[in-house]
Amino acid sequence: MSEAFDRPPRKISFEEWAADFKTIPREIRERFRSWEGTSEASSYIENPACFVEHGGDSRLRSLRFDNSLASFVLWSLLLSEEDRLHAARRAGKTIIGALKDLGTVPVIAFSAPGTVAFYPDGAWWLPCLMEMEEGLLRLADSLGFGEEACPARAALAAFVNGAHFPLPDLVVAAAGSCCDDFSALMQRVADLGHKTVWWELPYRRDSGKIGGAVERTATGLIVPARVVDFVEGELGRVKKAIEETVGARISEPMLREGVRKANRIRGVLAEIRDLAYGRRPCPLPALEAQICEMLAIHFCSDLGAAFDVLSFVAETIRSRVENGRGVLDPEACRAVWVNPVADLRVMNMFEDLGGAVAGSEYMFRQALIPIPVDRPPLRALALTVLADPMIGSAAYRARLVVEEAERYGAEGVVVSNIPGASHCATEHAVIAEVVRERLDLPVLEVTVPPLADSGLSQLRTRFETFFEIIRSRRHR
Amino acid sequence: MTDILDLLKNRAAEARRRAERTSAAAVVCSHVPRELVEAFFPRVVRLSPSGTVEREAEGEKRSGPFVCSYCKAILGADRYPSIIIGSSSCDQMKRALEIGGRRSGRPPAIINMPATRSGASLAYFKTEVRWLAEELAGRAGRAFDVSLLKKIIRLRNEIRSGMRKLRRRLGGAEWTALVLCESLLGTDEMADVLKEAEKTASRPPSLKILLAGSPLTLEEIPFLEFIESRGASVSADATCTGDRAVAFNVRASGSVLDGLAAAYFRRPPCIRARPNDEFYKWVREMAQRRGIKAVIWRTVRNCDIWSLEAQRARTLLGLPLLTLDTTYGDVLSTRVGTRVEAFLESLV
Repeated sequence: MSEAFDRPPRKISFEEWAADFKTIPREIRERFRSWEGTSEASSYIENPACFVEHGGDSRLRSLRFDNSLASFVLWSLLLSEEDRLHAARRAGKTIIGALKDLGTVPVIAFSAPGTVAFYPDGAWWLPCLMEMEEGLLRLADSLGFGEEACPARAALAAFVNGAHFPLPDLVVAAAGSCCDDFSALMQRVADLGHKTVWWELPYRRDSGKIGGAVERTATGLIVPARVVDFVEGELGRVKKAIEETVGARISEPMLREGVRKANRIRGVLAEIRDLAYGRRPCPLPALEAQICEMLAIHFCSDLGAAFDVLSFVAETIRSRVENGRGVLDPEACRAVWVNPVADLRVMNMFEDLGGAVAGSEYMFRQALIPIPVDRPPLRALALTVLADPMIGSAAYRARLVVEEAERYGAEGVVVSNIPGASHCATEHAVIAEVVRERLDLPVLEVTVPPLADSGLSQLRTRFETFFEIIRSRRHR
Repeated sequence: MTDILDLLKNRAAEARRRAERTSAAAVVCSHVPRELVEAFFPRVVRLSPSGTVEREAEGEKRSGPFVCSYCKAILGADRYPSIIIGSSSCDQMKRALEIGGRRSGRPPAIINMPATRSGASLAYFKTEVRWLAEELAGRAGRAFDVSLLKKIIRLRNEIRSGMRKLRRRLGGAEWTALVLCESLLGTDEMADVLKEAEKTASRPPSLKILLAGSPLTLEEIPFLEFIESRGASVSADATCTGDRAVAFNVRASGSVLDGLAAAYFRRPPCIRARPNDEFYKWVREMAQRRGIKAVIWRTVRNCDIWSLEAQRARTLLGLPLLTLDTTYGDVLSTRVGTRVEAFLESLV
């Protein structure tokens, strides 16, 4: 299929991208469909101009995109999610809104018949994509969530104005080891009267005495079995709440099948990450690689479509690697990127100035690792939950960054702070300290608001200086 | 300043100085079962930072500008306690303790207090208290003595009961100073302080205010004095350094660790509980019982768990509510003073 757009890889402007749409044959567009097998099945490939003009995603005009068909499909799946959720509502599916846990609750929800799950948290990108025209942050302000809270406060506003995602039939909120601001946000969402089930995401001690029986996560963490027991019980409550909402039981074979499908996606994603972050020249731009990672969290509300798209991306970049092709200069300065950026344009800028993302830590490692299949599914999911980098120490997260840097040969680390996020207030210092101690790599700290336009020149200077340091170290 | 306030402030200040000099073991959050820590270490205090501009600035250098003022003040100390026991209650605090631990080379022990309020969460917290007992045994180099723990529980129960009995006779400044004394003094010294405090005469009736928000430091007591000098009385205090601090007793019979866990779990919950209906229920009931007419919702800068609740509190408490967002640089600033005065005047 990639032959349809078989041309030298490069990044293109929005105008070029929109023009490309017209060259995609109809039969190819029709191959990429949401809700295949239902009355709501339809192609999600859309003219990018429609996302701007009808969807209001005006930020797309300022971005640069990978010119492959796979990238086009990937973006289309992402940008069509709201429509897909509304279609799910029309089709009578049950909609589960998961908050905070990033990667676990959707595996349970998608195991249930006629159910889709999504993260309202994802609304944090709307102010960027819609360049604030949607007014979500303004509305959040009026609700008492000003700039002291992270841009995820847009999710609260989206719940209030109901103008974006459909309001879920059940909200599943993970409390406990959670950012203070996001925890407050979830409480406000629950106040709106949505049926809500709270579950505990416990703090994970990453050092010191453990005591008693232990288990090991896929990332090598040792956790007490009693904590796994507790989380397994919590996920059991979540499952029960979903079953009550859906009106059908989720059997163990159904859960096993859900885990198998999630693992299939995580497997493809692992290959994409290895190719995108590990190969020179880089075969996939950072923005598209980040979107691929995000698909692992909740499958963009369509598990089957997400797998197909990721497989297509993997096929495309495999072919590029085999042919020695890439989208960036082979000499680009390689850095692990920590935290997702609130303004997507900054990832473009980083690459345009000579950077390449060589590893990432976007706060949801637990959604990237394989879910164990050698134990009951809820226990396996509990163990996966406990690999969440945000529920333990910043030192553990720093360790993940170091592992990424070693795995992908990074020459530096960029810690991209999210304004207002309580974890960002302190963890950059720990990450920088550990990275310098362990790898002697330069660490750049930047803060990226949802619309970074006014700070672009400052960010440019910081990136340029960072790259100069990296280049000068190559000759040591 | 009343004589008793003077005495309480001095005792608290002296205890804090002594704790800083001698590296006492410190608990950082009201969720940490302090009695258990006291069963292992001779001197245990609740970490109560100096709420000064200097400490805040020093803490900012060691962490970052977006850390809350209270955490900055903790990190800004010249010297950290030898043993720090924190809890998972507040994300920023637990992260700040990690930074402090890295700086001092002595990692904190963090007990996991669930935010959810289910039976499963309580059962889990019981396992956490048992973990803490093992952890403390490792740090102290000895197993804990059940009879000593029971004795400490009994003494702390008596102190808390004694304080609660005194509450109606004390103004907000005196009460906060008394709570800070309780958090910083051993059981014998605190029993002596209580005897002194019992000599206090009741205050004349005045406009009753409820204070809620971030924990108070000794340096902020003048803020309470200011409120009370303007004809109001802080008769209910929902901060961590207020009425919640002593609004419970521990059952010393049966499984002592389980009893301790249950008491700390079931005490009036922190605002970070999810959902936090119980917290608001407790505040509403206290406000009603004590005839509260208005609320001052005072948070330190970047304290999300309190500041982001302000608008909701206004609705749920149904009382006139003043929000104040402060650093330790403006405890008694003109800005804060004028707002408080205007608020109180509007209530009369």
